[in-house]
Amino acid sequence: MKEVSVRVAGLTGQGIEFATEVIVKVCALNGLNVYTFRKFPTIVRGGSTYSDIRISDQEVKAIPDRIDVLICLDESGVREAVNLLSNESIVLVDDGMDIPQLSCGVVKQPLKKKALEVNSRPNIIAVGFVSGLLGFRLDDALKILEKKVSKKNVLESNLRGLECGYRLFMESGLESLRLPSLNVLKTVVQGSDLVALGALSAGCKFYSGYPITPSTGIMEKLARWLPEVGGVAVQVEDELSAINMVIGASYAGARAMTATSGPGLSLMVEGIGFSSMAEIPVVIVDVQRVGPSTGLPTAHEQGDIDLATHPSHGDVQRIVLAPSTLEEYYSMTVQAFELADRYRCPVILLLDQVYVMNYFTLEKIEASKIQGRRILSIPSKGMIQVFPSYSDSVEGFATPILEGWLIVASSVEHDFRGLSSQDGESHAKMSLKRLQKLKELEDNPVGWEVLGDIDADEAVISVGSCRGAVEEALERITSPDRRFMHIPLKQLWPLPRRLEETLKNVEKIYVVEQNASGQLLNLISSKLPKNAWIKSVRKIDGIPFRAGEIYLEIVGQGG
Amino acid sequence: MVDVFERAKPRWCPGCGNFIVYEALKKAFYELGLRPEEIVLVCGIGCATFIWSYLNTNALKAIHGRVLPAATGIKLVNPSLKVIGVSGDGDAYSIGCNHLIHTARRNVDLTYIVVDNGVFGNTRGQPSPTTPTHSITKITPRGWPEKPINPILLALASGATFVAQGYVGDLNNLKKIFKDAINHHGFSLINILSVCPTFNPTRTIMQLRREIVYVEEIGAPLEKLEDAVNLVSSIQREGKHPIGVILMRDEPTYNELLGATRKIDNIIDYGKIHEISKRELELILDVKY
Repeated sequence: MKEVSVRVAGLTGQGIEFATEVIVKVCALNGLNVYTFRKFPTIVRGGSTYSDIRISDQEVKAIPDRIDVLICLDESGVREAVNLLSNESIVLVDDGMDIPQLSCGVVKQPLKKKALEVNSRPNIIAVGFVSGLLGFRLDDALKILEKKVSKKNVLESNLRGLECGYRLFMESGLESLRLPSLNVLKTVVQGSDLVALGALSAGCKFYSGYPITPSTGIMEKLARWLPEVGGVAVQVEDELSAINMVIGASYAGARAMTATSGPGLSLMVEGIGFSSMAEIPVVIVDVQRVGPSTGLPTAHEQGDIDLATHPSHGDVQRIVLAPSTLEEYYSMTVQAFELADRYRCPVILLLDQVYVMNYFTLEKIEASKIQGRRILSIPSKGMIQVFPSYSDSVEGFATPILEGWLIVASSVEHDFRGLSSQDGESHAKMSLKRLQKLKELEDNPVGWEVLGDIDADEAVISVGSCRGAVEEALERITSPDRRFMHIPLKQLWPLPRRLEETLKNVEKIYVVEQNASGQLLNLISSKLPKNAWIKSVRKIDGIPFRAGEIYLEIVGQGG
Repeated sequence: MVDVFERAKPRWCPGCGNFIVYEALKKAFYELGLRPEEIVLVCGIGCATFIWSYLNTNALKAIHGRVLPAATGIKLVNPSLKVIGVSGDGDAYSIGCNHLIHTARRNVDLTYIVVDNGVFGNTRGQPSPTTPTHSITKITPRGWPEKPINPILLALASGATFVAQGYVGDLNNLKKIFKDAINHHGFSLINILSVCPTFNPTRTIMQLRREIVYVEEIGAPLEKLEDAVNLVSSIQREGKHPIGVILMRDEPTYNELLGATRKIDNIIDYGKIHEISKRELELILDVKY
């Protein structure tokens, strides 16, 4: 196994993301696996930022525990990285920088001076240097740049910088880290790509949304792609508009979705109740960020579990899915649309900033082939009648224009045709009907998986992207006395009945999540065995879990 | 027959302006030769919005203030539908006012009917955004301190391509405005000066009748925004209300601008999706046929 973690650090505006993307794409070209995480401030210019790029010839499931190569375009990057550096780490800085004493090798290079000399930028010179250091051919990065940069003069400037950086490495006398080149072609994707692609594959034809970090990438992609498949994507005035427009579109017959982040989800809750009451299916993507309120708008956290599982007033029906792998960002998006249609209710996809906004490598994705929405065509009975949309026997959707039938849907309590019905008896009947719908999902949960040892006496329950770090942490525990099962819980509402059954005989339980109050633990606590020893493993610094951190929580300092 | 549009006998307070709106709209549908199946009423919250229970058409009863986003979603998916939004002054100008501005400037091809009685009648008598300053209401024993909103100028400034005002003292005129609005290619706002004898007894049809000016008699509908603003301002300066179609002009609709001029279907074209995936992400979408 060959693994190297690179951090590119600097200030926003210095091209950290550009450098990251080029390095990641070079890795993909060489068939390597990459997991990245970018920490960035809200300000667009001048705040300190970094990208961690974990590269391996094996699968990588979490952000790195250590930094092997640190590239700093600004002094601030060194301070932030100190705890993750080892004696073998290599730190590349500009020779004009004043940095603290480090125990590892510091390579000072004239990045800024050379940038002026060859009329390029320090970030791309650093990319050239690192390409050499990692053992890649100069050609690889050249190819990536030629594909990525279309403006001729900008491309030429980039190519000059790249070559200059590569030459600096050759002249530095440093030994290459010799990352292998595997004979597979990988491509680079962000989670937002997979959600958008999943939506297309599910027959989603309508999107409306309001820009909000970290969800905006999904809107940007669907805005380009939906018109190509005969759909529509619009940016609207606020999230209230977004959710209600999606409901209107779904009423008219299209599979429809919106994407947002915490503050937007807060605004959408009344619409989620409307979707549930009127039984109009919608898919709502919530890319979680640090809350409450404006919080840390660009940082990673899983604090929307409470809101997503308990949105809106009244007995609202909802399905909440939290995919745990990148592949599931595609497949569960597809499933979300199917479930929304099958149960005629809102489905909330609870996603993580780390997967949505960062770069990962992937070989291919298996298409989930499904049917489009079942639109009914029922002959007219000779006179115009209101269609019995809410009758149990109706499977599929009646949408206007249907000759001889009127389609009525309502936010107020209604009868089997959707017509206003305000008496208590009717409300009780309809309310129970809506409540019953999701019972089936409790028994047949989406994406149910138990990893590890099904008979183990210790269990780890994780949510979303925590899965990867937990998997890697458990792989490191070699003691034969300790056996674990790991449940990456993906259907958060309704809770799977199997959770209780599976954990019945477990003695120790670790619940891993990224929020302060233990929202996942609170959600599932009634399903955990009464006598079990329970440990809530939480992290709230805006950065995803590292495997090492979880290892320490499970094994203890002495482990 | 006009009764094809009747679902149930309308129920409002005696003397409510909504009866006139109901009659005028029903007759407008009939005289335009529309079929109930091609009309969708999108209604918000408030007494006027109960009309969805009485008129026999498709209907989406939305939540408070969100008539226009829901109506826009419907129109974008199926442009062949006649989408009619119905709100009161609270729904349209208080909780949902933001959407009016944006739907108007997008020129979504739908008809927005706002029954403006100057009071929150459904919650029994609180001031609304169109309540006159100094009005004594349940929550303003010393008089309402706010200036009323000006829906007509607001719609004009927001770029609406059809702006009209009707009043419940003239059913035929209201019907004609509805017909023009439904036929209009683009967004239309119809503010209807109405009465609520139960909770706003100071405003009566008799009083409104003394205060109206039919704009068709003085050159409306106009095409230019400045002309329309001048006309409305000059009438309102006299303490009167312009009645009729004030502005009407032809501009591309939101559907047209987005290229969404056909009904969206439910077909999933995996070939096309595979192509997008390959082109945009260089990602193989493995489709097993």
